[in-house]
Amino acid sequence: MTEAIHTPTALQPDTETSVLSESRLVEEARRGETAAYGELVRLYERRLVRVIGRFIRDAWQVEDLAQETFLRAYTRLGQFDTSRRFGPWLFRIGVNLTLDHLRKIKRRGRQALFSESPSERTPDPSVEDPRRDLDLKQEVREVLESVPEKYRTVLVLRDLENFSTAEIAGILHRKEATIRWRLAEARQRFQLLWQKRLDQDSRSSRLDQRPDTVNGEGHRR
Amino acid sequence: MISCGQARDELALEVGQDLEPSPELRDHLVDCPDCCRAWLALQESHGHLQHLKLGSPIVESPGLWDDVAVAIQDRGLRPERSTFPSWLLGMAVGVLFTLFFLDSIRPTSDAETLVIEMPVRGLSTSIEVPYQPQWPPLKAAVPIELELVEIASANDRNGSVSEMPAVRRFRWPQASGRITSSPYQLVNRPIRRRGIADVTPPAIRIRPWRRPIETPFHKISGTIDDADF
Repeated sequence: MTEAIHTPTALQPDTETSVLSESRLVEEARRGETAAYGELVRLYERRLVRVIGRFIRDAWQVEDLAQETFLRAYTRLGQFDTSRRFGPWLFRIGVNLTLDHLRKIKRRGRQALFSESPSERTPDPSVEDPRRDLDLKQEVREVLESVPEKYRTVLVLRDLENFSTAEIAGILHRKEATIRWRLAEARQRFQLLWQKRLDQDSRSSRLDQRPDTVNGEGHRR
Repeated sequence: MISCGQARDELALEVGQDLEPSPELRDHLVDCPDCCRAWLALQESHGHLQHLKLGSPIVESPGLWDDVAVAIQDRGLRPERSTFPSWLLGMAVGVLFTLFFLDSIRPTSDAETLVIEMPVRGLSTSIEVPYQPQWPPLKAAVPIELELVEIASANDRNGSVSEMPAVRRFRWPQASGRITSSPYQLVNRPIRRRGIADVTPPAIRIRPWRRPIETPFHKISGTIDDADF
């Protein structure tokens, strides 16, 4: 019998905080004590920024979206069920905002995921040439970008951010079985697209190595 | 034996340690080189994805609270009040508790079946009428009204063949017991339930009454008032 493995939770805030103390902070923030909300922001900001950063490369946009997430969460604190953890609820708002943002960009005709060029880095002579590593990461990003959104989101949250499938179910407001199915599908799709990419690369490199035979023209890239 | 499709779904979960490998999956891999290749390819692509994981996009603490606090103040934001007031929650719990209590004292299903037995054209017949008392019991149980059509025949109606069938109405619970006298035939929709407007009367099942009737249980005379139901 095949059994699901319960993955360790990734939604722990940056410092150890129990549900009780989170709910206390939420209650205080609801009463207008903004300092309590500040505690919650500090607990989750790094994680939230990192998650949004998995979808969007531009650091300014990431911070804007994270800030907007906290503002939206603040105005909706009345809807939060204090018997639950604050994290999944916050990340649900953040991920939805991010996906909406990407869809808007896409509608405007810009390339959506990982669209912004990676920041320029000056090569450090003391370390090994990082370009090969960067190239590989860029390729992985591009392949990931071509995975349809609903699978890509699950893949990013599970394989890059280490959320458990139960946490992803809470964030995306879907059943855990649905998330698991999407995860399996996402990994298979990513593998197929990665394989396709490798096949294209090897084909083009073969073409590059072939001696010129047609009309004496040089090979074209 | 699992199919290749099922095996690859499981492999895709197993590659991220989201699933314990099953014996069926292991057996399948032994016999299926294609799935073995798929497994290796999945491990490779998943490894590249993990490679991407190592590079965290932003590592430093963003320090967002200052900006968030300013924005809260500038925009005059306040936490909205809960859209689900607590008194409503209390009321819902109360209603649920009341319904649960009422359901616990609900009559059993045996009490909800009315059996009327009678001969139809010489053949003894019984009718089972599912009966639902009005629930919750805010009022007394509403009686079922039966409408039976008396079929006239030359023998038992003193030769008055042309006489129109007579309609008789019986009420329950007053009409508890058995009808065993003159030949009645049920019309198709014999039951009306007063006071339960939304309930469609169930179809009446007529089954042969196997036990021979030795003596009439009740004698029905001309009117419903005389009938001993």
